[in-house]
Amino acid sequence: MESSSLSRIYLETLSSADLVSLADEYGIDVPAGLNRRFIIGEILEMMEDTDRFLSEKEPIETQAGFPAEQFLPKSYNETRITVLLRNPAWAFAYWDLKESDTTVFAEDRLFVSFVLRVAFFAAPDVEKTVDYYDITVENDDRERYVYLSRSEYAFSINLIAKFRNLEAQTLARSRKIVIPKGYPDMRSFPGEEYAPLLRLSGMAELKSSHFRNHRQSF
Amino acid sequence: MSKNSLIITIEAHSPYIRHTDRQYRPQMSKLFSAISETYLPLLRMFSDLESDGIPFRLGMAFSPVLCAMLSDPLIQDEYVQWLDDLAELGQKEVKRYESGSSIQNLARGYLKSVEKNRLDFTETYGKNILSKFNYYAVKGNVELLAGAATHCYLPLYTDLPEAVNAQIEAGLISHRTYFETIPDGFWLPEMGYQNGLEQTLKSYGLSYTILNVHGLLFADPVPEAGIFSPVRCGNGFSVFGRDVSSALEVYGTPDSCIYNSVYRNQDRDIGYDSPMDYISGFLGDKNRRIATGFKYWARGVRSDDRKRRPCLYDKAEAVSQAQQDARDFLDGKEKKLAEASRFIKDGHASVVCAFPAELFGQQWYEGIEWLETVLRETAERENIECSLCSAVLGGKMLLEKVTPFFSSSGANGYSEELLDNSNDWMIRYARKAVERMIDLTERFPNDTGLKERALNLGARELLLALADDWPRMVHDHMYDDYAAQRFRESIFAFTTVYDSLGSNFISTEWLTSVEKEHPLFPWLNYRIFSRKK
Repeated sequence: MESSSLSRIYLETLSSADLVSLADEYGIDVPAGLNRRFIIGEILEMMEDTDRFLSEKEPIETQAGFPAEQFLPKSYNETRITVLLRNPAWAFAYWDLKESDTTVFAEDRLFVSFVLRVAFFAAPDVEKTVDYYDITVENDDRERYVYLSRSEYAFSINLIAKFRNLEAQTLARSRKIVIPKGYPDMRSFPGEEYAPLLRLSGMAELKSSHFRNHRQSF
Repeated sequence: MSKNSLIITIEAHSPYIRHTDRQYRPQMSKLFSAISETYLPLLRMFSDLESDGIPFRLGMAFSPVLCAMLSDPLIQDEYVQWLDDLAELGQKEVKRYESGSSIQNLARGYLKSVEKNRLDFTETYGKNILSKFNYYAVKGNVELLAGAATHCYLPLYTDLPEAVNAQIEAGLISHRTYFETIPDGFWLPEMGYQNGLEQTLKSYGLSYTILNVHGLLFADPVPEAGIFSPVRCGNGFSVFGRDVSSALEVYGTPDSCIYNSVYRNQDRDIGYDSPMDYISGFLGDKNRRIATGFKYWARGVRSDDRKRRPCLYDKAEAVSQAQQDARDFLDGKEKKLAEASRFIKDGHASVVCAFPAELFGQQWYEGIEWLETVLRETAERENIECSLCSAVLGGKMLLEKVTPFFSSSGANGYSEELLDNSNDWMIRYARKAVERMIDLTERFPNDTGLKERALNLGARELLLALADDWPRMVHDHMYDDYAAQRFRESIFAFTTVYDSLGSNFISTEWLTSVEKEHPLFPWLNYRIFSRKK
């Protein structure tokens, strides 16, 4: 992120004409009316691929003057998992592990891996899961985007340690989150008829834009 | 039959950025451009409408951090300095072009605007433009909505009710600090709604909010009147649905009216186009280019020119187009509302057109002309009137009861832009700091003196860390390095307070320096993060 920021600063000193020339040099087609920020974004993206820009244009600096103590901790030394809704079909899970837990598992020959268990519930206040699936994560992973089943009422995610020939151990449980209902079924809406007020409200356009933006995610 | 209602609502917000160091001029320039191109022109427009006896009405939501910045003497002085630097640049520009040429006339006009902005800001409003907005609010022209303290995207914190309470409570205190009205409505940052927020909002005496269109159209049940009537949640809190088609008609797609070829090209600016040695005196230390407002070109190209050179900007033609676009917009709204009212039980239809303040003047130079024409024309029409959310609610006997849908005004309608690979590293620190702050309020419920001072600073830095501006700027690559640094600094400052209270030692020198750097919400009491008992 830092090196990208520094090259962005350099690009922001260039005139628009120089930016367009540079974009041209990289073979980027700049449509008329594209603003500076987008041109800079395109160039940076291209640079990520070619990885030659920084070495030619300016020396690499590091950390932009942050005092060392301002780095944020990698861990709060606690074992827990938190889940947030990103949209009705995707959640963001992040977790932390106590240092002692990490050490114990690393040294345990029977330890296989950490797993996220995405468990679904059919109703509020029901503890029994109706379905679940597991995602194996790397030992040093600390976050993951998780897909949700739209047919269930709620979900939670457990952080689990899996062992060879032993029962899995649940290390942390997230809170139970209700899955929002009401967004369109992407398979059924084209050609749907709407009551006049919903048609005037833009229901068809809304569902079309949802289909465009979310057909692969929902 | 009563006239149908057009409810125009404008959200005004800028991230809390406060520096005197010239290297931060690019970051500060966004606010300065907003004052010059949006807030002062809006006040002039209100004044003209008032002089002409036009009964205009619209809603506005000023974020508390914007209010804090607009009333901060340091920022006010920096803005005046910015105007002085701009005037110097403008004088160079006027001399640069042939006397009497069209381009020189444009430069001269912009220089006059800079001088007028300086005069109005310092003399007419005594550097306090919020007091004039308050004047129009008290008169009933502008309905002011309260907002979250630091523009925090609340759906990511609904399971930490103390964070949501603190944002709302500090937002309401801020409103009382700057304005003399009692807010009925609350502007949810990014229109971010998740089930349950209505409970908290209602508990603070608030009556309504505005959600993006799918907050209503995907609600359970889908409201019969669609977006043409407010609805109520189970607890009686009211919700309006934003008409997205109005926004798209004006901006947001390549076909939107702001891209008309006669309008000023906001991306062609001498700050971007001039040689560095000509412009460097105006820029910050790192010479990152910024807009100056000296823009000479229209969006369109000359049709008779094979090289497709741009057209020189013609203000009269652009203003005339803006007025025509405003009339077309109104015709469309009037027709749609008339048709909708035929199907609504009480025969009255309303539509909420919510716009970001930066649309008017910054993104769209002629936007203020457009808005003025909308307000003037509406006053003359028989079937439609500009109204306010509270007025529409007051006239409705029964509202349909629904559970709104999880939604935001973000590009894809949810939390994607504020929680993606570029910025998701922030949320764990922000939420952990909230938990620690709640813990501090329990450990130090009645402390005074230096401890209270440290706790207040911790709460202030935490509120700043919760601002959605930092993940937004990182996502948008808008000074992303700066935004990431600001977030780290606030978390670091909070953590320093947290650790200091544990070890019972704090540096007063450090405390004083951070207090001076961010004198946000001087009335803030850390106990707003307490668990409600």
